[in-house]
Amino acid sequence: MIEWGVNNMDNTMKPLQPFIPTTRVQQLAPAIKPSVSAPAQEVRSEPAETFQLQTPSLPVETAVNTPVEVAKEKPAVPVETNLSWQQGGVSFEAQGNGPIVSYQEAPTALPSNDSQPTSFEATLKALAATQNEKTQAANAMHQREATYLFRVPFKDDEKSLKTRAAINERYKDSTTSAQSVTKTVNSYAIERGIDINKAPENLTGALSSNPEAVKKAAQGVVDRLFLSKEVSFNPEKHATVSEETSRFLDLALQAAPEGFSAADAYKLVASNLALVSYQDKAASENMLGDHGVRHLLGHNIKATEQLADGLEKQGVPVGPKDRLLMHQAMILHDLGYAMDSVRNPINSEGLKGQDAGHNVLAARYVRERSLDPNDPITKLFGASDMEIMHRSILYHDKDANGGPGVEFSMTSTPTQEQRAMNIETMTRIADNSHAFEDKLPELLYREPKSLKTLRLMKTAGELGDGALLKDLKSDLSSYISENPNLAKDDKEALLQSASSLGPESYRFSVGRIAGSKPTFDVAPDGKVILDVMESDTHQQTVGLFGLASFNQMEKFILDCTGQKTRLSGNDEVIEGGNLAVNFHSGAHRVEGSAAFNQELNSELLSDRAFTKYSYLDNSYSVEQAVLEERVKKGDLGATGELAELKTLRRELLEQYRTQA
Amino acid sequence: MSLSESVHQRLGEWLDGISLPALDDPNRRIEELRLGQLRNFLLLLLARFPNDLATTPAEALERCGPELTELSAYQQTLSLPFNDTPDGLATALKLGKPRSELFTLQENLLDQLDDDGHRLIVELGRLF
Repeated sequence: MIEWGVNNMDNTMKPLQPFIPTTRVQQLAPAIKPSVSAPAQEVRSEPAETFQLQTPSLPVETAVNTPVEVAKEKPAVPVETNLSWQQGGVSFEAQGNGPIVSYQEAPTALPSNDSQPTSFEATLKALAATQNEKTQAANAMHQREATYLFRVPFKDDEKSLKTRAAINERYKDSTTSAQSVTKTVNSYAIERGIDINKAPENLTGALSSNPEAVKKAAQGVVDRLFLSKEVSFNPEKHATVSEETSRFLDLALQAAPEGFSAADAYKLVASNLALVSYQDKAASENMLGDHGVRHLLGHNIKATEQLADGLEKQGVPVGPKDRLLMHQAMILHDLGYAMDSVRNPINSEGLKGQDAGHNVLAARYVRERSLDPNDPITKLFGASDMEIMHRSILYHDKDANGGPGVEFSMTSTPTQEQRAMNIETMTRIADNSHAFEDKLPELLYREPKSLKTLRLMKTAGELGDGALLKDLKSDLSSYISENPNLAKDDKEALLQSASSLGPESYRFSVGRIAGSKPTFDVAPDGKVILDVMESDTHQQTVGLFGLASFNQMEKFILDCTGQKTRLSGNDEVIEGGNLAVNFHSGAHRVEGSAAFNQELNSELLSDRAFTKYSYLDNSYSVEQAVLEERVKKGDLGATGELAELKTLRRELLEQYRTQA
Repeated sequence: MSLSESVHQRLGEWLDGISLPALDDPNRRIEELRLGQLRNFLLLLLARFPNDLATTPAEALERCGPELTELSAYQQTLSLPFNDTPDGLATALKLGKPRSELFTLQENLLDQLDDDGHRLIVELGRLF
């Protein structure tokens, strides 16, 4: 493994080795258009052929050569579409997100008065100080992405190289740019009756002057997106999102810079809500496991808050700004899954590892947004906090070196780097600890009845009966289509998910019905303690699906502690690194999943006809495998027996379908 | 100890003597499948009378199918410790043969389970 680039343990920029060149492009001067005439604009760097990571807004400095040093020499202003000024009766506006122009150079190309700075110069100079900080932060972010893209998945075997190449392809896809994602999400919101760029007229002044009005307006967006038949109707998600929105605004009220406007607070929250809704719908379309409301808000954000409480209890400060930053990071961290370059191939081809590298796509999105001074997110979070957010997103599952990265700095006066590391660690623990039943794919969580379809599809697959598979999927689709309780978006997403099912879909999903939401605490030495309880439906369900008990729990422990373990079903404490998992066996009620458990029990576990069918069919399945083995060995006498058995299996299935 | 744990333990005692071929043995897969099938069958025998668990498979079978025409032969096959492979045992009992006597017995027993018995099958059985 070649070690190079940025180590996330410190912010020191190290010279980068040549990156795997996927494209080589010529950097062009920014497209700056005056409305009357165009004064010549100088580009800070000579047009140069350099590797570009397909980031349209990438400043010249972010090319591979020691960008921070360049930036130090010449403070720079990224050219943004919304940067405009008046000079000598001429309106100027910088279009596009091209390379950057030095504030020292730009004025020389324009009429100016040295003794009395023009309003343009003053504006530009004022902007420059902030923008330079932003540019440096964006450079650091970009370096981290480049390093990540060079190293992921932290192995160099043939398969890993293919994965790396595929991630790079997705990364440079134009649909993963912030501009493209923003456009898509804006349209998504508009189609659902929400304009996320326009605050209600009554939201004037600072957020602090009228927080309740912002909350009320934001709640309207929540209601529209999560509790309306025209969009999505889901009381459980609606409650989760409502609670989060209120908490987010409370934190913003405490942490926002003075003068942060009510309108910007609304726009940021409305944008977040649209992004959550968009991700929730995308996640509901496949069998990857939830990456929507339950994951982003229901588990991850709550987990980071618990970890923050645990740290504060031990004297480590985690203030409102840090918490708010983690809320924002969590809302965005899995956005890569919803981007077209990931979402579309999963929906059309099924799961084939297209999700790999989803974090770097979300990181790119955040970096590009960080360059827009008019984006409410940059008004709320300074450049250095945007950089921490970016790190938390990029390294949300593994640290910069591909390790579990569970390490807290237990100090009451953390440095900026220690603060960043603590935030990163909280983000990772929260994300990696969501592995149980409420992370089930939406189809299974919302419609436990679909688990029956998975069981029948297994049989159809073993019979090699494509028509039967199609019929079973069609049955499920009809059931979803005719369900009057499903709103438009919900229905669309679940139908897409149902169409993706295959005979082995159960293998990946069902084991998740294993444990409750964990709870978190932090010990004085910084060790993280997770308490996990066995789900009350776990044993029945793994039995029903023939999966080894506690597989998911053991995987969870491996992910969190690095310890391979075999749970016996008793209470156990498993320790690894800076983390200890307290596993509590036995049947425990799972908070927040009452409806799911109830439905699972009524639809599946207490359905005697289904149990009988599954039991007998399992016996047939074994017999079929034995006969197929005999046929393979040349026992022609088994051929007839096999055909007869398959006929009986099909009859048993049809008998159950008719009965059900 | 819960009922589920008691049944789990009893099954473990009965199946304790059975060993599977090595992982790279070509018969391994079939033996694993057969073991699951045999375990399901023994579980069903126990689940039929969950409040009074039989001490041996032969006893359990006699309680569940006293009318079986080949009861004594089946009991012989099921006498502990098992002296055949899972495939050998399941083949001798014709567990998966659709029109066999023991397949029919299983169909009937599934219909006769009480709530506790049903839960045991769901919790401890291999249904996939």
